[in-house]
Amino acid sequence: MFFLNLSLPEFLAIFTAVSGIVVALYLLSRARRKQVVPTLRFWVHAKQPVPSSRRRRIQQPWSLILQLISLALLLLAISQLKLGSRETAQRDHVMLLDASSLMGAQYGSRQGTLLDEAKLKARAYVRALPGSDRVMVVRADGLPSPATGMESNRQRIERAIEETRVGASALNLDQAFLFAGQIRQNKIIKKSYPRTKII
Amino acid sequence: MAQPLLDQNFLQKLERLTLHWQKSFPGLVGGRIPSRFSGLGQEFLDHRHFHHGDDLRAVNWRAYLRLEKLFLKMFHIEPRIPVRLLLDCSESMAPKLEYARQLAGALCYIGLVRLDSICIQPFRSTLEESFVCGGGRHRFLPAARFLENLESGGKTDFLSVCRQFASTFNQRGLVVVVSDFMDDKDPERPLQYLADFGHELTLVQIWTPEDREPPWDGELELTDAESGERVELSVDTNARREYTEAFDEYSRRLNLMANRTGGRYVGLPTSTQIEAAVFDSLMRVGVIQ
Repeated sequence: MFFLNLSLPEFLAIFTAVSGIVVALYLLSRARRKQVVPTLRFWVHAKQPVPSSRRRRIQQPWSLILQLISLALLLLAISQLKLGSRETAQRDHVMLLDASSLMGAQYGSRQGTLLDEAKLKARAYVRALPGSDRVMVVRADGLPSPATGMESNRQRIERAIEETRVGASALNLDQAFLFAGQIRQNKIIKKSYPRTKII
Repeated sequence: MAQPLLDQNFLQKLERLTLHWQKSFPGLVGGRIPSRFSGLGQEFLDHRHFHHGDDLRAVNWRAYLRLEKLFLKMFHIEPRIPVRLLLDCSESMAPKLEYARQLAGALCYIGLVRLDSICIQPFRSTLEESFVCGGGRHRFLPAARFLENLESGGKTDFLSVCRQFASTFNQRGLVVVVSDFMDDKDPERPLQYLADFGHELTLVQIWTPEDREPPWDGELELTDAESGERVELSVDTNARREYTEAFDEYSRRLNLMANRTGGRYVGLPTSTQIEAAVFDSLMRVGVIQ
């Protein structure tokens, strides 16, 4: 069990601070209100001496407890409590596949290019991912361009990898990383664990 | 321009009304309600034996011719009775003073129209400076100004007020007490004393809705508006119910005391319109007709 949006210390710190405010407001609302009345003679019947120790105690605990429980539930909802471990949680991946002209070069003694080798490794990476993870394939050359959206369909991802061809421009790695970073920040990845793996 | 105490339409409606009292008071001629006391009236009341010093003009000479005894004819008198409006101006009346002013103004106007002699007597712990008027509706404006200038403040002390009143006003008459009767000491005994002295009491108790049914709940620190005394209370629905019962019981006791002494009692929440208070509540108990 873990929090998606907050760490446990953050959660506890916020909960403690807000609970403190709620308890203070509760005690303030239970403080004596001052009223001016025309006479006190009729209050004699309703008069109940209130010992000072009783005043300091919380007199309606259920009201306060329910408020604190509601507050805890609200904070849990905000921090997105998830079952399981952080490692097994769904992730989104942005896969930058180098499609620059350099990738057309021969790779080793085998009959293939660097791009073919990169495709092999990319496919191997995709297959190694848990089924719930999503992948966005981005073809990186002079100008990075997404080949898929955030996709959990492995066939589509592999097709996008397969259809990647060597481009004519040189690789602009900074631009590619910037693009991947923007995808993370721009909430394109919604309702997901916001960790992006860049290959 | 300041709002007048009572609007013109309401004053016109008041002109049809008269102040009424039940007791017979001795006094000088010029009133409109007959008294059981004999005097210089028009309507025959009774005969009595002639005593030395009686007015010979009232001797029944026909009876003397038949019986050879002197009998004196007595006549009903319609005495001019003073109407005194005792207006509570203590601190507890602060939220009710405007209402009390208007009510006193209405009663004053009714009396003036019927040529009654009206005395507006504000009081706190003692009697304050009074305002006496009479002789017609055109005397209402100074009375209204006097009422408008009254301010609330100080403590109520009915015992002191009633003592002072009894010693100041010798002639018995109608006494209309407009107050919330929120004296820490019991006001019943002093008012009883005033009634025993021969005055006819009309008690008009005024309260705000909060006075009778306090809307507050929880931990309260209540301060007496007049004495400044404080008490800390835990108020819940039961406590509020008991408070209202105690208030109603107090009003009932005032009512009983007024009726026992031949007077009247009217309870008026300030939520009641002045017009409704005059034409419904006050008329129902017979203070005005």
